[in-house]
Amino acid sequence: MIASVMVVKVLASNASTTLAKINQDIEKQKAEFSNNESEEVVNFQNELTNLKLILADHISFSNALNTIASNTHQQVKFTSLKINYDDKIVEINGVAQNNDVVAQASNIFSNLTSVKQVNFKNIKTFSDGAHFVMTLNVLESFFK
Amino acid sequence: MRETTKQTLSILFITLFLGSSLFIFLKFTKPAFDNLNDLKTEIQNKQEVKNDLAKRKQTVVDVSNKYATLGESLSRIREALPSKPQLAQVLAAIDSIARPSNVIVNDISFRELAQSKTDSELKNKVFYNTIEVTFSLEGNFVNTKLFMQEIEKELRIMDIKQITMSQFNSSVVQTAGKAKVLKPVTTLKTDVTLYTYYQP
Repeated sequence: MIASVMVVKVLASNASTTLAKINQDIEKQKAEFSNNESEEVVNFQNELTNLKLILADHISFSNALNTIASNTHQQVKFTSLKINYDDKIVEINGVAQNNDVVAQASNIFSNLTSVKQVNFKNIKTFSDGAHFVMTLNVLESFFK
Repeated sequence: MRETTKQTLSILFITLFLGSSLFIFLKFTKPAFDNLNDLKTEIQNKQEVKNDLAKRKQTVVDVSNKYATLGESLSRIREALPSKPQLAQVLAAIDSIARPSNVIVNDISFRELAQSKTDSELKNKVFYNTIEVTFSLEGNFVNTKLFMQEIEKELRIMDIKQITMSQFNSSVVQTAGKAKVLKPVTTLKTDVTLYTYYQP
């Protein structure tokens, strides 16, 4: 019984020595770890991640302008144009020959897959034609 | 000594021996075994920590080596997403795009937006900062569109977020023979809001 206690004590002493050596190795490895180097690597990884994130959301506003220009009715003249990417809304103020032309202009935009909905407001007829405000609710693809 | 006394003494010795064995086991052997087992578990855990540390160190060294060989690509990444706002660079980029596009840029202003809040999905992510740049452009539709196309291609990432385009009447000087005359023209004025980014 006493002999077994002695053997266990010796084994425990060896284990303690091994543990102390491992702790020493860990401290040594930590000391070798250059803080600047690891920080720089972490920053670089973060930069790459964020860059991917930003590029995935990169907006092509000129495509939106191209789409509007190429789908504008020939007898419609735009007086102002407001495009908001965050709200995904395009507001067009324009003048057309008559209400029929306004309807045709609206149909052209309605047929686009990147346009969800076309709304009108303030259609008024003056001597130079029908003045209108057309609002397009568009999809993300409208800007890509 | 009588036989019964001998038996009683034997039982007493055996009981004492067993009792003392149990006492030694509980007082010395078991704690020593428990201590040894605890040490073995701790050694195992520390060994895992040591291996993990070695692996991490190797990863850092590998990435660091890759990072050192990136060269020009690295400088392009830094230009696309710099570590400082570098507003002068943004101003220079807008100006250098405006001139060949034949548009006039006015009323430029910069504003740093609040950093996005962390939501549950993006926890532990390091956020970038956004700078809002507003300005107005004067030029015809084709040139304004050209300007926007070039802004989209610029290495420093810039995202146009909002535009408001309206017509206004202006005049240009034209020479008719020897005389100079003012000719009325319709120009577009476009108010632009764009975002550019940096990672501090």
